[in-house]
Amino acid sequence: MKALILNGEELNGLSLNHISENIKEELIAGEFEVEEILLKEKEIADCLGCFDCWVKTPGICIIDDFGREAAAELINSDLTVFLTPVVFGSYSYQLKKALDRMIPLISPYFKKVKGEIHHKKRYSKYPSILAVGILKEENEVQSQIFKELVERNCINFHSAYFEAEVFEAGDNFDKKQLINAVKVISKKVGEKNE
Amino acid sequence: MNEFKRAILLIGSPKGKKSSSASLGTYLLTKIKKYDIAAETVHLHTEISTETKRIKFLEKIDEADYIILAAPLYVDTMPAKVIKALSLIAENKEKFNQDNADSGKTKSFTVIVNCGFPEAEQNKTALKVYEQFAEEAGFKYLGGVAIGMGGAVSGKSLAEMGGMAEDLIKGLDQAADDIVRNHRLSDSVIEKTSKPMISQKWLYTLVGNLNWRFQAFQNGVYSKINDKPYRGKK
Repeated sequence: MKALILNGEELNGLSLNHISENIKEELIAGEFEVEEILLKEKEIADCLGCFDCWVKTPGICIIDDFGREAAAELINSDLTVFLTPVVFGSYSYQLKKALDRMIPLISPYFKKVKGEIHHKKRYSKYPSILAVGILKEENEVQSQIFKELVERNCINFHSAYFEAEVFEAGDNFDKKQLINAVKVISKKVGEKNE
Repeated sequence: MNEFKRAILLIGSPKGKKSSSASLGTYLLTKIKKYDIAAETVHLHTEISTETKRIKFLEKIDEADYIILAAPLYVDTMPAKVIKALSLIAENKEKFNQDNADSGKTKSFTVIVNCGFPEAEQNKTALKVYEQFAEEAGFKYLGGVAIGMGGAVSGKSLAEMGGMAEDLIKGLDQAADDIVRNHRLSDSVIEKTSKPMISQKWLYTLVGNLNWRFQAFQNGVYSKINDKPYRGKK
């Protein structure tokens, strides 16, 4: 099984390296082959909103930068980890610039999912998602919004499973809870792959 | 009384003037101008790209009384560039708040979010995110307008859209009044602007699906529209 960690730490922001290392160790113990992308080190332009990835170069973004590679890595993983500072209850700029470039992975065509219209799958299989949000201090409202956002993403990314947890950085960081979240999602992904 | 007040419209779509966000935001801003409010528009994708531009952008925010953002829904929340712009504002909030305290003014923030899906409700998580931004920046949050079927606007002027945009126009007219009065957006704004522009959802999706096919055909890639270029690629 393959896991991809999209590390969305901000330029000059809090380092998420130790959290990423904890996730990586647990995933490797769960028999995942792990790849990490530190997004702030990669050249990924903002999505142009042109939809050419649907109607000109189907499945491939017209911008030729690392965004293409990130999309290829994501679709070929069994589990993708969104590791990010929580910004207004949402993702960091670094993570979001990559996620906005994942649109080529889905089809332009519409279909109904649980009473709502969404885009169809382009691929037969999509990764499950583990979202790990980091807050400088506790914020229950933003934690809830973050989890709701991840749940919405799972519908649009056709993910079979997701887990979303928000942690406080610094002394209050709950490593046990993080390890538990990794274990829960790893088990689900593992069972699905059997 | 309002002659010294300023409104700033932030366009969060990379498509700039050709976007649905620009159509919707510009319509609202035009209505606000009728209350003798000075107004200007900033395209976030081009106007925060250098340090000089960022300083200028923050000066414009500092001078504004009414901040309005019109943006598309990207992956259930704000587009990346909008996160960058709003983070920049929030990081400088101490300066704005201090200025506001001196002048006795409070900046308001209102957002218009549009998505290509038929259901306006699909914007609701994003609206919660925008409200958190307003709180962090110390702005008075007046509320958010959620619009579905954004594909039906696609950069057109609302006035040219005829009956299809009737409710939307009425809702935005009322929104302008609420914003200028510094009131939370009224229920009628939310109700009118969230109404589907095309009453039959199936018709919107049918036309949408045909439109994708047509564009792919025009570009000579009709047979490739379902391609899976990254399948099995490491």
